[in-house]
Amino acid sequence: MSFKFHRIMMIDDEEIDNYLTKALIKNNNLAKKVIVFNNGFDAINYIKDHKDISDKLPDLILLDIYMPKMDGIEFLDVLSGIPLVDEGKCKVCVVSSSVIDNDILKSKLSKKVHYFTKKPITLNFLQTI
Amino acid sequence: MYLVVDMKKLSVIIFENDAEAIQSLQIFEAENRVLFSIISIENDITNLVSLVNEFKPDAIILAADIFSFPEAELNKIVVRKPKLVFISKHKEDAFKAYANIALDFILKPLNPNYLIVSVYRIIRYIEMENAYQQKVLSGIEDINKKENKAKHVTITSVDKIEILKTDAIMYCKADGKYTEFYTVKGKKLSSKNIGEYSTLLEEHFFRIHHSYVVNIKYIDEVIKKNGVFCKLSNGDILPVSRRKQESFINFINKK
Repeated sequence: MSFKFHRIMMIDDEEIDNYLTKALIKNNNLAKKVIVFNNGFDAINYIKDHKDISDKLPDLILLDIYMPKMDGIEFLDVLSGIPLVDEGKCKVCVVSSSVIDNDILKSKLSKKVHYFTKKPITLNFLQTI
Repeated sequence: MYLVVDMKKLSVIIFENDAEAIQSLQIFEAENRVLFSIISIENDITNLVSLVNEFKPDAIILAADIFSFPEAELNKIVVRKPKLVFISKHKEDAFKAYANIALDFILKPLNPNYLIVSVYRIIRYIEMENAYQQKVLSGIEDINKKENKAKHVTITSVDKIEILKTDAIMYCKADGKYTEFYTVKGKKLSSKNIGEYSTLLEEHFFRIHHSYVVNIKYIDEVIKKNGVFCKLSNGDILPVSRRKQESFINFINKK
């Protein structure tokens, strides 16, 4: 079985969004492994712990912006400071809630952001990244 | 820790007699028990309203290619109106979904990718409705507090029941089983005891003594000599019992 992504990481404090995205990924064999965090802080710790293990780093990170403890913007700041053994990993897709003004948000985003989408994440979007 | 402690689990009634669609929905339920629960599967719509009133489902899944949604019956639903999802073999039935303000329309054969999105939309929609309702209600509460909506108490005596605005009450005095009301328009006697009134009078009233409930709007001074006393705007002086002194001072300071 070939998967589009080896490992996808989801960072979102809302359980229902994580459930939906995980269901779409699993049902359509888009990733071999899915790892979920509900705040940026725990996600950063995972990445720090595995920065030298390419296999454990996610290919894609689906990142929500508005979360408690450490929000998406802070997460991106910290992430850009972590030297990864494989710089092709941890490509970030920012997932915004559609109510927020996207232009202002985009201006705050770093170079680590490769993709941008709105909630809810669609199957079509995941298939065409 | 998730912000939403428990994901909402949708309870659903299905109106369908196509075996394949029913099976897809049952498999979907088995794989998504955390979010989705089928109350019953019905093969006829005659009892739609009574089923909704009895079981209060969050949503109804209805086969639009078999049944015609009973729009005329809707005002007999006395509970929160369930969200609608129409399913059909025919694309043209999407029109019916719009006409009945359904949240989603799915073509058969049913694909779990679309079912999961429908479930997500319903859950989100219910969340939004609840949040909006909360906002409207607290807005109303705020307006009421600002405008200091007039409150009333009833004074019961042998030959009449009087309705008195609480703003007109300076204080109440217990007189055995009766209560004397000292108002701006004079004294009134009620056959109800003071205990019954202390629960009704809120906000600006305080029970300073087992015999007195005072409206702080009419307190001119609080005297702290040889005990604590309230001097009212009409000159009357009322004692504050020792037990109540501390809480009374705190109460006054907050208003």
